[in-house]
Amino acid sequence: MKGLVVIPAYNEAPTIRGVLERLRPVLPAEAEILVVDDGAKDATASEARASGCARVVRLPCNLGYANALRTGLMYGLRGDYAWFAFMDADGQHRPEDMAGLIRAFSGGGADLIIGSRWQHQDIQKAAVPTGRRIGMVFFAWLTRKLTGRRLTDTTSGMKIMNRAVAGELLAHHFGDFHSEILIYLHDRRYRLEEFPIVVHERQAGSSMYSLRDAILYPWRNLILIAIFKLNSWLMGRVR
Amino acid sequence: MLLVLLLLTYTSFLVLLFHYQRREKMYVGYTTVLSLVFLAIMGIVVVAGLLQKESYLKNTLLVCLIITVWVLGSMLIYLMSQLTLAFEKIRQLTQHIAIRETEAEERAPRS
Repeated sequence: MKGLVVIPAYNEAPTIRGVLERLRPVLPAEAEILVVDDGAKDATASEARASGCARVVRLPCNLGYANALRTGLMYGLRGDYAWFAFMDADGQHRPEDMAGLIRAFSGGGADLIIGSRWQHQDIQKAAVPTGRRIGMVFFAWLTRKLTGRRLTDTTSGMKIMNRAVAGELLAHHFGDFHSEILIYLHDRRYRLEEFPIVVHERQAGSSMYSLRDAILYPWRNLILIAIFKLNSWLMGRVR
Repeated sequence: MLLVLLLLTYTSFLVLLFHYQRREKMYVGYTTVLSLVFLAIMGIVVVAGLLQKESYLKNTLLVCLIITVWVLGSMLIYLMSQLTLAFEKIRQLTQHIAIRETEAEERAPRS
């Protein structure tokens, strides 16, 4: 099954080449890599091209993490890829975990698999700042309440999905493809699973999330979740 | 009593709007809905005033106030949504251009 690994990158010149060079050998031959340079001010795109193992889409301005992922999906859905995976460019994710995720997905049974740091026996809680950890725990709890499913790492940046799910993500306005998509997809009977991964601290640079994003993130997600639930409820009533 | 009826009218029209949009693939215009809501509310005011012997003028003023706030609020929401839509179109165009450029690079013969 031909697939595409989408890597959004913003000012990741110090790490992107190393990530790609470690990722390519562990991926199956039918998997391709696409780096989405989200308007980076450094040499992210040229470093990615220099690695020789990835295609690069270069956005002229910074559209944000979710729109970088959306660009990758837009590119992929124009082709004949059967699956799409997301991975961070900052070295937080291990290439071997991506290979494991692809193997688990190829085994069938799930429409979307999330890489979960809380499922792995080697949990590195220290790598998560306290504020972010509180948010993660809250949204995991909310997702469990609304779906009845125990999904532990709703904010994970490592995911794999089939074409149908990718189409859904492009068709609607989601935030950062976190808990809001899990609740939405669960309501539409998509099968969601988790896969244990290890998440390291970022090797260099700064997060794609600014302070403004960090403040807006919980409110935006809560509003999106409320809209989706209300929409499902209203549609269910008039059916 | 009047407020409950107003609330019920709003809800009914919103459900009706969702129903038409989804089942009949027919998109009811905003002006049509607003006119229908206005007529329905005025009808309720007249009926409620007759049944409950409440002050007709007070109820009419209340309805006019609610409608005015609703119309002004809706206009603001409409303007904001049009702005959001415009930015959304620009974003999509940016993404398409970037993708097309990558595809053109892939097709171009390597020197």
